[in-house]
Amino acid sequence: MGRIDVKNLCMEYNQKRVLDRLDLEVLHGEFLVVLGESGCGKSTLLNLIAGLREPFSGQILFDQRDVTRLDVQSRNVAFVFQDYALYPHMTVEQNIRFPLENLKLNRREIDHKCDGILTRLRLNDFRNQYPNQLSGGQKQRVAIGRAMVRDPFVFLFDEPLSSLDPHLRDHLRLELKQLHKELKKTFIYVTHDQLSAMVLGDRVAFMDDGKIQQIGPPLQLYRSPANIRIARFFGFPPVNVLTATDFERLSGKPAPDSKMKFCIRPENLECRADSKGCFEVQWIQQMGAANFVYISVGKQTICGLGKGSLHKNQKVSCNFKSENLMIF
Amino acid sequence: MTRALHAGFYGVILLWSLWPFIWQWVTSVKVPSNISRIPPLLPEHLSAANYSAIFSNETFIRVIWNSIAVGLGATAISLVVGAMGAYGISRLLERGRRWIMLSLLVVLMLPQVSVVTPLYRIVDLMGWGDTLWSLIAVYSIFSVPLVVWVMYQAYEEIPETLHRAARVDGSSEWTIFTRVYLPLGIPGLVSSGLLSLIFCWNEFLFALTFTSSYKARTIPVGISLFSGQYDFPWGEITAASSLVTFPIILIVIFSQKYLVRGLVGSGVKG
Repeated sequence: MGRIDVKNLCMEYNQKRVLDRLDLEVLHGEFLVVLGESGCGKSTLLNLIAGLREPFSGQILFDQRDVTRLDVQSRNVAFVFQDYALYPHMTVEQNIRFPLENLKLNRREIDHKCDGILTRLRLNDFRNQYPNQLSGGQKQRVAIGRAMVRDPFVFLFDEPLSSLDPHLRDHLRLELKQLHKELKKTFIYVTHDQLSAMVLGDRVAFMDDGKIQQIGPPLQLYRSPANIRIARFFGFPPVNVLTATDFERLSGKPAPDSKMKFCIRPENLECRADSKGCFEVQWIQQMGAANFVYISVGKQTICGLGKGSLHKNQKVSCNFKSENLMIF
Repeated sequence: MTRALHAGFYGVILLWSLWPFIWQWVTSVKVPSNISRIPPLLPEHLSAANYSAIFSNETFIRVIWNSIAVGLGATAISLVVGAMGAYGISRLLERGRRWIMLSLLVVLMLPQVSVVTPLYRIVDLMGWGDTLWSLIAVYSIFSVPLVVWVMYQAYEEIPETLHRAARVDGSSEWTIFTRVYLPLGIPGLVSSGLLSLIFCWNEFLFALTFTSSYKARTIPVGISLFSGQYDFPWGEITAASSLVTFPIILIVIFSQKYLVRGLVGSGVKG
């Protein structure tokens, strides 16, 4: 099994609280993405789960077994680093053998396991190459191979795709998702990239101020975010945030509460050509599949989905469904 | 015109710095009886007399062996101690690195004259007077900080994630050191080892102070004691000097890359 419970976890660096009584449940075999801005404590959480650091207080349970004070060697976790951290002086095969040699297994067993991994990850042709001779995708596979060769309890990923170019990133995301299906292991993936979170996660945990702010399927966080920061974090172009007066200008209806903020995602705000419309197109952003138009509402520029053919300075009217409105 | 000026300028500098060596090489191949006679400026025919004289001189052979033993011994000790020390400082210490590194730097910068007397007393008390051990021990004091500094820089250049990765892969600190950091630090080991060898090979003050016979004297001391009370065997001195400068020149030519890296500390990625 691969269930992880984090209870009441606290961590401090230089008297600064990084994790503040954090609770998290990770279910067996799920792909959980921990999403948050840099510096929100998500990497710290990952290091604590791995056992690379000791928490200030709180508990970490692997299948109900308390591992909080166990060191990293005895936890049997796999960790894939942002830069993959392959040993540059070892070949692909040596990289994968390294964890097994630490377990002091006999040679035949090591050979057997290593061959199995190399075949499974389609790395057989590269077994004698060094990491600097590999492509990004191959490096990721070697890093995962090195991680899975010990049959770990959980896979931890620390933003491994963030430094790559978008095409490769897409490709590797797909591969990672595929691998998760095959391995049927628990994956915890830390990132600041909302797109990765949406694509990869079975569930996404949004982290801020050292706490999990919301956890759920990606679409739930997208459609009904628990607070305005989460709403702002997801989606491109970013969500429109309106004050009550601007909201009244946009919708022509009275705002239910003058102190609240009103959020509407650009793709839910339809703008159509209308000679009697009250708004004027400022500029148009062509995205191929859709084009987004920017209009002025009060002093603010907001973004909506352009319907039909539009051009600059055209009068438009805007509509949205009330269920798509998010109020904080 | 400027090119000619440049060439002339470099020529002068080259002549200025190479002159002592040129004089030394020329003198070493002269026939002993013609040494102080000018003209001829250059010898009419090359003579190996001076070289065969020093090679048949058992004392000088002994001195060469002493130098090799002391150099290799002190360098080996410094590399082992220094490489481990640098790893500990770089990857295991939570705080205080700065102070340790600075205090090591102080040791490197101490004028040797200022410590020669206390060190002499210590060597004497240990009963190591006039032994190779005394020189190996004292040279290690100075080359360990050198190795630590060079290796510290080398280890700091290794991404920290490799250390964490190795821990996750179940390695002990010793395994991480021997299987990850040591192999990746080989360029640093080579450069600090060469610097240490050169230091031991050239060192004069301690070698002179701590030895009283040819049992433990090294090359610089041996050459300086060539001159007898009444005669001054220029031929043999220059032949011996040429001979012992030769390995250093070879080292510098063939391992400039490593030496420069060691001297500047870091910056050059391997």
